[in-house]
Amino acid sequence: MFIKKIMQPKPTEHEIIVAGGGISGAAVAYGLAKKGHKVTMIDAPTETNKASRTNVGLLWCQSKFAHLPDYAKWGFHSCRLFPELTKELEEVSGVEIPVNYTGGLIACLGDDEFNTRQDYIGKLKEELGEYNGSMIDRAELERKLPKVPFGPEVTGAAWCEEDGIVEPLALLRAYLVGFERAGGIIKNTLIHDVQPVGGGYRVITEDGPMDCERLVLAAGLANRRLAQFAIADLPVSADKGQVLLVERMPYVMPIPMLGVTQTFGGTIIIGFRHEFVGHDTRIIPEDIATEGKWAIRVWPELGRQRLIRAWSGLRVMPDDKQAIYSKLPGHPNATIINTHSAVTLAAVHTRYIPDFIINEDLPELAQGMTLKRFGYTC
Amino acid sequence: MDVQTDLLVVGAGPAGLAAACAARSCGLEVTVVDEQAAPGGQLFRNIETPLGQSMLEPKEREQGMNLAADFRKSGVKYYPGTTVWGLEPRKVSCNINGKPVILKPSTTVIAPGAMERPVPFPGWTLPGVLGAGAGDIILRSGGTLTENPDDPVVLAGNGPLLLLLACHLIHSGVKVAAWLDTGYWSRRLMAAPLMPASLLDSPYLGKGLGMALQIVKGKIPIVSGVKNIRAVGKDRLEKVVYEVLGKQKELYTGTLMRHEGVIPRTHILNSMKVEHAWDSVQRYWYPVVSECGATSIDGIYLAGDAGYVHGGDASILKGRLSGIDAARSLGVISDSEARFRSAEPLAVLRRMRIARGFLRYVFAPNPGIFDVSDDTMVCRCECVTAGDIRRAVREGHTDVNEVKLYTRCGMGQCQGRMCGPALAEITAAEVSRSPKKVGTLKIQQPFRPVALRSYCDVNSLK
Amino acid sequence: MKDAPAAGSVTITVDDRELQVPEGITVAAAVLGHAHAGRTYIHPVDNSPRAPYCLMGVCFECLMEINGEPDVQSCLISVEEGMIIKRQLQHEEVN
Repeated sequence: MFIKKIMQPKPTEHEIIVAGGGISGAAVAYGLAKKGHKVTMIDAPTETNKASRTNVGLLWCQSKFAHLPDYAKWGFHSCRLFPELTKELEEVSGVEIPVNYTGGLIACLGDDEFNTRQDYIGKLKEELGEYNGSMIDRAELERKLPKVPFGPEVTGAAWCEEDGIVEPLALLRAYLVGFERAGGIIKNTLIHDVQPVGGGYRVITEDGPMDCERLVLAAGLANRRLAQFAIADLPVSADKGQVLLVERMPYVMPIPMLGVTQTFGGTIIIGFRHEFVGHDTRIIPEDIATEGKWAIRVWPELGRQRLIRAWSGLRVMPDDKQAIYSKLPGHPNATIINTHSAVTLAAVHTRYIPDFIINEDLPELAQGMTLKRFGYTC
Repeated sequence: MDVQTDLLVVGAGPAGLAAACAARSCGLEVTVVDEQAAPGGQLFRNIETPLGQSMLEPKEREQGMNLAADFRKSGVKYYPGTTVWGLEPRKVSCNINGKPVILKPSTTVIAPGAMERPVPFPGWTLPGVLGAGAGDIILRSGGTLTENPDDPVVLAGNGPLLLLLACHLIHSGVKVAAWLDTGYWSRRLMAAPLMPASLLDSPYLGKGLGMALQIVKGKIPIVSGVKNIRAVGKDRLEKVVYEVLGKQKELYTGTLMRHEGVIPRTHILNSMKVEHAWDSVQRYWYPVVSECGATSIDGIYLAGDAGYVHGGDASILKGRLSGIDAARSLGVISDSEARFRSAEPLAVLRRMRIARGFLRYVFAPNPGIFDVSDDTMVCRCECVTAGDIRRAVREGHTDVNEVKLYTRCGMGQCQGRMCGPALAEITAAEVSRSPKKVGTLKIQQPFRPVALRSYCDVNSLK
Repeated sequence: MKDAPAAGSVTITVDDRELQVPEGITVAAAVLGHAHAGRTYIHPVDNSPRAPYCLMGVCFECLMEINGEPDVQSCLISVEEGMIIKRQLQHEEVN
């Protein structure tokens, strides 16, 4: 026991440690480094659940959520800040970030779907006061996407001009390069445990312990186990998504459509499923076949195209769908970040969350997004 | 059609045909599916036609024709032109003549065979550059490799198919300008102590020596220690440039055939998380299977060169053994009858494996062949270069799945079949580790592109 | 009046050119080894000319239009009398 103690490597010292190098971690780490803080970001090397690799890159502020008006506005705010973010990141990192700010669509099949969606938009307008989205009929939809031969059942769509689509891996890469250029340090290792020590925190990694004054937990689903020293049951769950990838086609869809959208490379991604089945990432053909069939109803020509591969992954979903930005209960120097829409919210994450981490207030829109709403004191 | 059956055999090459016949003769209901239009796989391609028979040595021809004839007589249900795109125990998704079907076999023997190790080099995507196996297929299809019969071809690489191809070329009167040998002499010398064991399989040794003699008599110029092969041309191959002893040389030709060994086709088994082992001499992954081909997954067998490359005649024996064991596993024959039926093929197979041990060294790939320039295209489907891969590795991505994600290498329609080995070798070289340590590409169904409608229709059947 | 095809051979059309090839061989082998077509398609990403590399189903560089059906792996299809084969040398603008 004594020998073991002597053999422990000495902890390295850090001002701020950000646990998690995905889109959320990178966004706030970059923001902190920009402000002159000394930040070390820890990211697991391989094969752990990586939600940042499991998404289409939609910048999506429409249609969420009538019962969370502040969260909806938060999303719009982020989308409006996005062009500035990508421009800055491209300049600072030299990484090109393919992005379209061409709006977003949600297709409707049949009249019932159209009416349901329309009612929901009505509710959003009521709750938010102002909501920049509306229903468009089929003719208008065809004008927006003239080269997509929509199926006969398509009656129209929900449209929002403030949505868009970004290449998510390029965005992440730009953040990481920008972070390093701003003086940030990236450590690729596995975190085994986090414990409060002295006035700060000790992050125990496979490569030895790392001490910090301030801690940021941005490790997605892994936050559940990393936050155990403060919360036994973090209200965040694994959200399984399964997706079909159809071969490259001529580029006909410059406006992304929820559930069936064309990437910058020309391939078509189909999938919109949310499943809460724990950590099972097996592809269930019966499940994605349902989505494939839906996509064929929206865009019949897709049926003849070749499916190149299918993949699945786990995303993060806070239990009440809203983002979590919070000090951990009893730990004013430990901040936790969890959200489903880390790509959309990247702009506000970079702009506002670093200040919150350094103990300033959250912006008004986000003040309801702490753990207080789940009954915790923090 | 009957979707439920005792045994499904995937692949109608030597191993698959043998497995089907052996299982059938034990009394099982057997279905065979294969992507090609006729039985025989690669070794016995077109074995039922005079053209296909003509290029084989008499003993092999007889073996192949007998196997095909037995297969046809056996009452096995056979679906050629079938692509398998999903495989789980007791559930196999395929397209039979374009129609999606889900088959439900109690046991499955997977016998996809082997493929040539795909090695990228500058200009390898130019029309006129082929694998040696492809060149051989053209000859065995009665075709010619050059438009003008007097034009020469060039061979390059290190491996068994190059020998075979050279003999066929001599036999067909094709002019071979040179054989550029990229082999690894230190490994070849290590083979020497194992060669006496090869006398255990003298017919095979005789065949090899016979081929070598033909090549010497055919007066093909052999250049050893070749490095940095490049195929050069605008819209098609015009010349081959290479280095030997530090000097650059070139050969004008419109046809180059490169071969760097034969490796198991592991695509399907990778998707099933079957345990694989790494052969550090041959530099390939192979599935860990019992002597009769049983994998770690209940009801799934692997037979033939896809388990480890020992050659076509060994594949026939491996196929027989898995067919017999499938029957035993279903309780259709007793354990003792299975032992009785397996005794002879097992004995012969064991002798063969010992005798052929030296080949592991003679045809060991030279790892230097993967040290290609940054501008070399590695992923043909997505146009990803060696430089792209190295850059991703330097940015901290040391697992091939991560590199794939960042570069798109392996995301195209071949699903990493052509770029997988090079992706691993280049990634590993960049971090000075063995390819064993950089992971293998995660494979999921569909194993091949399949029309979206087919995939959805067949998976929606309740 | 056309001559009857030699025994064991079939007549196919490759890009509007008729030729006789042995029965039982694959379309890709016929196009490369008999028709000597050289390139068989243009790659949509980098516009480079390509041709089949492996002729056994692994490389996917042999896709051709066969009897009207596009993107068929021609190395897995046997030639048949009257088959109409077209190389896919044009592709629509991709991005």
